[in-house]
Amino acid sequence: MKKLLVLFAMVMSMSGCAAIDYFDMARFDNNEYLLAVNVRTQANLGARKCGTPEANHEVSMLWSDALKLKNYAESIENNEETVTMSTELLEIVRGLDQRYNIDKKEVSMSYCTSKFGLIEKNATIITNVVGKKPR
Amino acid sequence: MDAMNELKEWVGNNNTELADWAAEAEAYTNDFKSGALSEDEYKELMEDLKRSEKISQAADDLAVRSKANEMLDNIIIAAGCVL
Repeated sequence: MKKLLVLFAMVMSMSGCAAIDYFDMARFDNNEYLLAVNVRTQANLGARKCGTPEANHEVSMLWSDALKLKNYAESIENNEETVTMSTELLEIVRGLDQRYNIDKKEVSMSYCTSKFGLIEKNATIITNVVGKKPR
Repeated sequence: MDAMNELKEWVGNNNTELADWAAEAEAYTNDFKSGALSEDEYKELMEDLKRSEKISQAADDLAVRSKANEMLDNIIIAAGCVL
């Protein structure tokens, strides 16, 4: 919390070009928000299929949704934070996709539920902040 | 609502702090020790927590930037300025 206040104080004390750059940010985008919600929803649905043969398909869907979010976020100017978040999220999903659909390794139930849970938690954080971008 | 009150209210409602990554790390370690997770699964999940931290940091940055922008917009509207 303190770091947020410090950061906010720093922004308020900026002058000239630095402040202009800081305020030049990507605004709320319906498509970006929907893509983030899709990742969150797919992670929630996928967790229910852990330990079943349908898990592979759910992982593929999740990979597709996370990739769309990252690619879309990258196409928007001045969108650095969302690009960082979506890129890191995609890397988390990559491990799941690697095991299920590329290496086709045996996956433990605990790994499957933990992984989907972590992805859903992160997607929720992303959804909350992307939804509060200035209109 | 003036800008300072708005800021105070917002500071008390920080969404990203709901993410408690330390609790996750403890749960993964317990699962690994009990044999529910293999070693490589455990390592991957712990790496994921580092990525989650980066997501939380970027989310905090975005939240501050969004709020600063919103407050600036409100000030401009209140002052009746047209850019």
